[in-house]
Amino acid sequence: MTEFTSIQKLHEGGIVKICIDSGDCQKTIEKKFLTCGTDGKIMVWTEQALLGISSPEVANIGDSTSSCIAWMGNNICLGYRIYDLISGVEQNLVGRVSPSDYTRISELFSVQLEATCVDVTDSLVVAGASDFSIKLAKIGESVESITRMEIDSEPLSLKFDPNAEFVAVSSLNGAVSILSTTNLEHITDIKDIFLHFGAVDVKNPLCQLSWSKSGSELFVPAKGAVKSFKRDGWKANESFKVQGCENEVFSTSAVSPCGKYLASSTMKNKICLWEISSRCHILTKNYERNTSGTTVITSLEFSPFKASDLIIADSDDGICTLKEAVPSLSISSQENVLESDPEDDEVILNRSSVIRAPLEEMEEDSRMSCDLGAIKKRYGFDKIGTNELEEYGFHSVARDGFPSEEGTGSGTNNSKFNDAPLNFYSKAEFKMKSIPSNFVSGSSPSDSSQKYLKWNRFGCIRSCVNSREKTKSIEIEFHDATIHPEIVIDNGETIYQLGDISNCAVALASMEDKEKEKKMKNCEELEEVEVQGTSEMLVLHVGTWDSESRRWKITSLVAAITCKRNVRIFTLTGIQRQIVTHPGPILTATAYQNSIAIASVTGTFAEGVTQDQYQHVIHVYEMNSNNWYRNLASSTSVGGVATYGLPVPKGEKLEWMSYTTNGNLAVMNSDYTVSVRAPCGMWMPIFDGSSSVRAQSDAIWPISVVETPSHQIRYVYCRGQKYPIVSLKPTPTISQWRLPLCNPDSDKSKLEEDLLLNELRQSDALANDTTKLENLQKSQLATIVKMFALACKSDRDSRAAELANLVTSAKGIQLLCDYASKNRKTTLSEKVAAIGREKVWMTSVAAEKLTSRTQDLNEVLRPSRISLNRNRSSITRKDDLSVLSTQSFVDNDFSSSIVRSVSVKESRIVNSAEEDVGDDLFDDDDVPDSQASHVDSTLNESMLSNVTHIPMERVGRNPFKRDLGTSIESQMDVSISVFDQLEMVPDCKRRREEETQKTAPTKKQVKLSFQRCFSAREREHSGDCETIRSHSILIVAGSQRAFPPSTSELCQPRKKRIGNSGSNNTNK
Amino acid sequence: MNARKCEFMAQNLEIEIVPRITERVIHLISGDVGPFEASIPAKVPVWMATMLKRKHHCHIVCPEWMTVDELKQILAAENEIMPLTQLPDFFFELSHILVREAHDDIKDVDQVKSLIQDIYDKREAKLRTSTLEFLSKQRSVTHARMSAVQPIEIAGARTTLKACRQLSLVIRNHQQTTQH
Repeated sequence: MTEFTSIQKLHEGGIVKICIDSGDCQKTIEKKFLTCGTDGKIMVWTEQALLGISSPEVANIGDSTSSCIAWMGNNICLGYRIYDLISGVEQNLVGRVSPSDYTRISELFSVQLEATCVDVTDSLVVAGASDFSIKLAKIGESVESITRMEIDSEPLSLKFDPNAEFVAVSSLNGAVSILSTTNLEHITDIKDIFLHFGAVDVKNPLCQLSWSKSGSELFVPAKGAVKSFKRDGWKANESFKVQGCENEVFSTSAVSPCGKYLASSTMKNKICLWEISSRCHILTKNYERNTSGTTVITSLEFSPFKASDLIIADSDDGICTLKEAVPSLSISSQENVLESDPEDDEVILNRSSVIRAPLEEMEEDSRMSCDLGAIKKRYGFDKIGTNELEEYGFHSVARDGFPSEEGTGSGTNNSKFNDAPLNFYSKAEFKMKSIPSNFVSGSSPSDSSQKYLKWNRFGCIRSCVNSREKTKSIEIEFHDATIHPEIVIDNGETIYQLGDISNCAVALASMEDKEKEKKMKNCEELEEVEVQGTSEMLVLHVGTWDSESRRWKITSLVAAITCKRNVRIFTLTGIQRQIVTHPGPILTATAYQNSIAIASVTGTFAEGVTQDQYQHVIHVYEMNSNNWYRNLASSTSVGGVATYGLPVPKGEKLEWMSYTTNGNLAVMNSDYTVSVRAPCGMWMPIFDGSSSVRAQSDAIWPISVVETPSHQIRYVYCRGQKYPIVSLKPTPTISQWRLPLCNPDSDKSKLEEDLLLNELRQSDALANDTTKLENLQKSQLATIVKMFALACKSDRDSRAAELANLVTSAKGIQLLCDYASKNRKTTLSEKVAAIGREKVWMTSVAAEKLTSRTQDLNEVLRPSRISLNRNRSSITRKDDLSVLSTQSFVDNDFSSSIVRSVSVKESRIVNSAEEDVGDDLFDDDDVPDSQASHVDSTLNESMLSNVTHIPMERVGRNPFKRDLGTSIESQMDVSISVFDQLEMVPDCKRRREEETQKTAPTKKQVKLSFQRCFSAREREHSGDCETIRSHSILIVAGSQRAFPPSTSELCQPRKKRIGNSGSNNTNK
Repeated sequence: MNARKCEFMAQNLEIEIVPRITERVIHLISGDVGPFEASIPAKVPVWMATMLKRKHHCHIVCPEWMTVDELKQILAAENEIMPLTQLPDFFFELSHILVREAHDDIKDVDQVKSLIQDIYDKREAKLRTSTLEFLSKQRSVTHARMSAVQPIEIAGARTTLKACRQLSLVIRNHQQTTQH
C-alpha cells in the first residue's frame, strides 16, 4: 500500500531541506540522512528516528543555518551564519562537517549574503548566495582556489552533474544556467523555463534541480510539468506530465538512486512519480497536513533505507515517509501491472502471470535477443522485486538503489540492463531485537526546545528555552491555583529534564552531564533520573507544614528510576526509604499513593513479519513505608509486588500509563485506545481515540482518566502534531467513557454499554467505598428495566427472561413481572417470577450456608433457634460485607413490599378489573382457609396492597421458610418473598379470613400437587378472586412442600428445618 | 444605546473557561454555573469569565472564530461580497473584551487585533457608503433595511443617521420656506 507514515516533528518551520548521501551508500554501515532548516541545527535521522521509535540526533551549527545542505561521501556542506554579539557582525559562511562528527564544522569560504544553495562532490563545493554570486571551492585547498561567478538573479538551486563536469543553477528569473566546474565558465543559459518570482520563500517554488543518474538529462520542475533537457546541446526533451496537474507548479524533484524514477512535488502538495525512460506516470499522491496556514513540501528524496520509499519534509515542521511509492512490480510502461497489490503473499504466487503480459510485448520488440533480465523477471526475480524478498529477510549484496561500481563509472550507459545479479547466497543478517525506548508518560519528547515535562491531572511542568536570550526556565503550574501559585525556576545550570507533579510536591530531575549523556544515548536505559554523579533531583515540597493552612502528611513518596534499573524511593521530606532493582527493562512508571506501577517488556515474538511485538507487563510495587518488611511473599500473598499483563495490540506500542483517581491503572496505546484495569482485574477498553482522530497527523495526548465525579477521559487533541504546543496552553477535551461495543448507534448497544459501565462503577465502589453502591444498583436496575422493555417490544422474550437474571433485587423482578404482564406476556412474566424465586432461594441458601454450618446442631437441639438465627443474620447484615450482597435481595424484598403497600393501595382499586384476568389462577379447593390463618397484621398490610399480575407456580419452593419461623416469633421483623405477596387479597375477603384466623391454628401447607397447579391454570380465566386470596396466604404462610432440583447438600439444612417446623406445628 | 451598553449586553454571552480553582455550583440569577474543577473546561457568562480572569482564577478559551485563519477568512468574505457578512453574535464587543482582558490567552493577539480592526473598518466603510446612498436617495427611498449588522455598528450608525435625517429635514423645510 502506498501510504504516508505518521509525521515526525522537525525543525522550526520554514524551508527544510532533506539531504541524503549522493555518494556510495554502501560504505556507510548505518544509513542515515540529514535535514537542515533555518534554526541552526542539523538533524541526523536513522530509520528508527524516522519511524518515531527514537529521536534524531541534533547537531548545532552556528547561530542559524540557511536551509541548504549537501552530502557526498565524507563531505557534508552547508550554509550557516555566525552572529557576533559583541561586535554585531554577521558572517555568512559555507562550511563542511564530516559524517563522523556533525558538530565540528570547518569553514570553507564566506559569502556576502545568505547562502541559498550548495552542492558538493568528492573534491568540489559550490554554493550560491543571495547576492547573485556562485562560488566554487576545492575541498582541502587554500582560499585562492575559490572561483567566483555572478549570475543574473538569485540562485534557487544548484546541482553538480554526476560526472562533475557541469553545475546547473536555477535562479529566480526563471532560467537555468549551466556552468562548467573547471572555473565556473558560463556555458549556456536555458531561459524562461519556469515563472520568475521575487524571493526565495516558502510561498514560491524552490525549483530543485536534479540530474539523471547517467547525467544525460537535467530535470527542472516548472509549471505543469517537470521539464527535461538533454546534456547534448541542452535542448528540451520530452517533459514529465501528469493529467490534472497542468496548472500546478512543481517545486522539488528527486531521482531515485537506481536512476529509473523521478519524483516531484507541487506547490499544492501533490507528489508525482514517473519512470524516466518511458516518461510513464506511475503515481500521484496528495500529501495532506491539517495545520493552520499553508504548508508546502520543501524537500523530497528517495529513502536511503528502502529504495521504494520517499521521504518528505514540509514547511511546518513535519517529516514523513511515503511508503511503497515505487510499486514493486511496476516494470516498463505497463500500467496494468500497477494494479496488482505488491503486499499480498498472493503476488508471489501469481507473479509469473502478472509479469507475463509485459514480457510478451517486450519480446515483440526484440524477438531475437536473449534478454536474461526479462527471463528473470518472468520468474519473479526482477530487480525491483528484491524489495519483497528483503521483507522476508533476504538481502542482496548489490542492491537496487545503491549503484554498483560499473553503474557510476560509465555515465552514458543506459541502466536498463545494468541490473546487478541478485545473490541468493548472501548471509541473512541476524538482527538484534531492540527494546522499545523508555519514556515519561505525559511528557513531550526531549528534542524540542519547548516541551512539557509533565502534564497530569494536578498540573503541568513546562520547560522553555529562549534561544535569543539564551535562557532556560521551568514553569510549574498547578491546575488549581489555590494549591500553589505558579513557580518559575531558572533552568540554565541545572538543566532539569524530568519532572512530576502532584498536589503535595513537585519533583524535578536532571540527567547526567552532557558529555556522559551523549555516550549513554545509544544504550539509554534512563527512565526518570540518574541519581549519580552530575545529575541531581529537586523536590519542592509544596504542602510543607510551615505553611499554616496545610497539614503535613507523608502520604506520598518520590520514586526515581535510574539507568541501573533501580527504583529509589524517597519520602517527601527526603528520607531514602527503599531501593528496589526492577527485573527487566523499564518503559515507563506511574505512582498512586503508595503504589508504583512500572511497565516493562518481558519478551518478544514475531506476530507480524515487519514489526516485533513485545509482551508488556506491569509490576505494581506496594511501597508501604511503615511495614513493607512485614508484607511477606508467600503462597497466599504476593507480597509487595504484583505483576499484571498489559494489553497492547499487534503492531502498537504503549504510549501512556497512569493511575485513575480511584487508583486503577489506565493505559493508552499508540492506536489511541485507552484501557482501564477494573478492580476485578480485567482490562476494559473505555475509549477508542482512533475514531476521534480526524486527520492522520493529528494525535490524542491523554492527561488523565478520572472516575469521580463522572467517568471521563481528559486529553488534548493535537492538531497536526503529536504533542501539544507549549507556547499557548491548549484546552483539554473531555470525553466520557465509551465501550467500543458492536453496533454502537443502536438503542440496545447504548443500554448494554450503560449496564456494563454501571457494573464497572459498582466494582469500583465495592473496592473503594460502598456508600455509592445503593445508587448504582438503582441505576443498574433502571437500565435493566429499559433493556427489558426494549426486548419485550421487539418480542425477544427469552432475551428478556435472561435480563431478569441480571436483576439483583426483588423489587426489580417485580417491576419486570409487572411490565411483562401489562404487555400481555404471561409466559414471560411466569418465567421472570420463576427466576425471581430461584434467585431468592439461591440467596437464602447462600445466606443459610454461611450461618447454618455452625448452627445446625443447635437448631436441632434448641427450639429457640429461629430467633437466634434471625438475630445472627441481622448482625451479619451489618458487619460482614461479603454477606451484604446475598442479603440485599431479602432486604430489598421486605422494604419494597412495605413501600408498595402504601403507594399502590389506591391504584389497585382502579386497576383491579384488568388485573383480575391474570390474577385468578387457583382454586379455592386447593387451599384450605386454615392455611392462611397465621398471618401477622404487618404482613396483611403489605399483602393487601400488592398489585399482582403473576400467576404463582405452586411447585416453586418457598425460600422463606426460615423467615417464616421468624415471622411466627416476631411479626414486625418478618421478611417475606415479594413473589409470595404478589397474590392480592381484596379487603372484604381478607376480613373474612381474619375472622377464621382467630380460630384456626397455624398450619403449613404440605399437600399441594402438580396436578392441582395445572388445574388451577386451566381455570385461569374463571374470574374467581378467592382462589388468589387463599393461595397468596398459603404461600406467605410458607408452603414447604416442593424443592427446586438441587444438590443434596443444599437441601440438607432445609430438610432439617421442615422437620423442626413440623414439630412446632401441632396440627401436623 | 451606546458602545458601552453593547459591551454590557455582550457580557451575558457564554464563554468557555479553564478554571484554575475548584468550586461547587454557583447559583446566579441567570442560571447556575459550575461546578468548577481545576483544568476542566466550563461555560460561564463573559462577565464572570473576565472577573475570574482578573483574579487569575481561570484561563479564557477564545471562541473558535478568534484565530488568525478564521479571521482571515472572515475578512476575505467581507471583501468579496457587497452586503455585510453574517458575523457571530457580538463579534466586535466580545473581541474587544477579550483583547482587553485576556490578551495572554489569545494566540497571535497582535495579528488578531489588526484583523478585527480591518474587518471593522471594512464594514464601517460599507455602512458609510450605503448610508450616503440612502440619504442621497432621500426623496425616492423612505426606508432601508440593514441585515447582519452588529449591535455596535447600529449604535454607531444610529446617531449619524438620525442627525442626517434631522439635517435634511431642516434643509428641506428651509427650502420650502424660501420657495414660498
